[in-house]
Amino acid sequence: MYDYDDIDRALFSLQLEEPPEDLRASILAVTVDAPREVTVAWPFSFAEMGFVGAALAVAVWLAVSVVHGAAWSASLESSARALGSALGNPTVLAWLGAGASTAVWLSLANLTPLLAGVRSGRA
Amino acid sequence: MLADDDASLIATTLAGRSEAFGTLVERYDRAVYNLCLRTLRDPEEAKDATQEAFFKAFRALRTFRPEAKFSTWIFSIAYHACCDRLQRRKRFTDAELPDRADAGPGPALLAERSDEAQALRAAIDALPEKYRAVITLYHLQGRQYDEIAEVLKLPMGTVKTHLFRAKELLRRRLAGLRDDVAGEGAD
Repeated sequence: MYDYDDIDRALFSLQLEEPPEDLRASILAVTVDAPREVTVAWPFSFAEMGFVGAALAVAVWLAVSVVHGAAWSASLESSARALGSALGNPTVLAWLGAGASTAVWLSLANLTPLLAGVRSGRA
Repeated sequence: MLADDDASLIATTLAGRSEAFGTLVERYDRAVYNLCLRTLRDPEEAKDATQEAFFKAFRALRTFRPEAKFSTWIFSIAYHACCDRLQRRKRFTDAELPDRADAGPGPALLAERSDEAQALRAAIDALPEKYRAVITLYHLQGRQYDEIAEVLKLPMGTVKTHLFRAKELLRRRLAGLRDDVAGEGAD
């Protein structure tokens, strides 16, 4: 009869089985030796992008104004007034702040763990 | 310390020298393969699951907590990869039901495997999946109860219960085999 000591002895003396010879190579092929993803760095900084965006917006606005034949000075004055009153409005400033905070938070958030579906020690 | 070595290898990998991950593969591929083999009972699928586990670990290495053990993490990923495969397998066949004892090879087949180690491996393969994993991690790989509990996402008491029941099933199966062999010898 086998007793628990026999089972323990047999189990502890059991050797691990040898993996297939090409297992290690196949793992390394998809990890360490896998071709790296080519990532192209974005050529512009955030400030540069903002400047270019603003310049483009002004250009579009000017082009539209020219096409519609609007009075230049009146358009500029009304736009400046509208901008000034908007920036003086606390509600508008609050929304601008909320939007900027959200943009910063999203740019800092790292979604890789969620996408990988694997968490350290909790996979 | 082995754990420190693993941690430094991970740090080196994350620092851009990915060949350090190769050392981790060398260190754990055999153990992970054996866990997959015992869980899936199919060498080809065990190989695929092992590869999948290391691939997932490599991709998610930045999420590894430095205070955790790499062995626990990689075993956990591998075990859950195996569970996914068993689930997929169950959709096509009803061959694997984790909560029931698998009939497995009978005493006649076990008797053909005269070597004790072979008979024991066959008996382990005949255990229900949840017992196979516990036996493999505890006895074959020398893992502690708390690490097994973390890998299998089970309370430690359940791990101990599974271990006890697994050994009881093994004892009965191997005793049946020994009786059969003794009976054939008497004939």
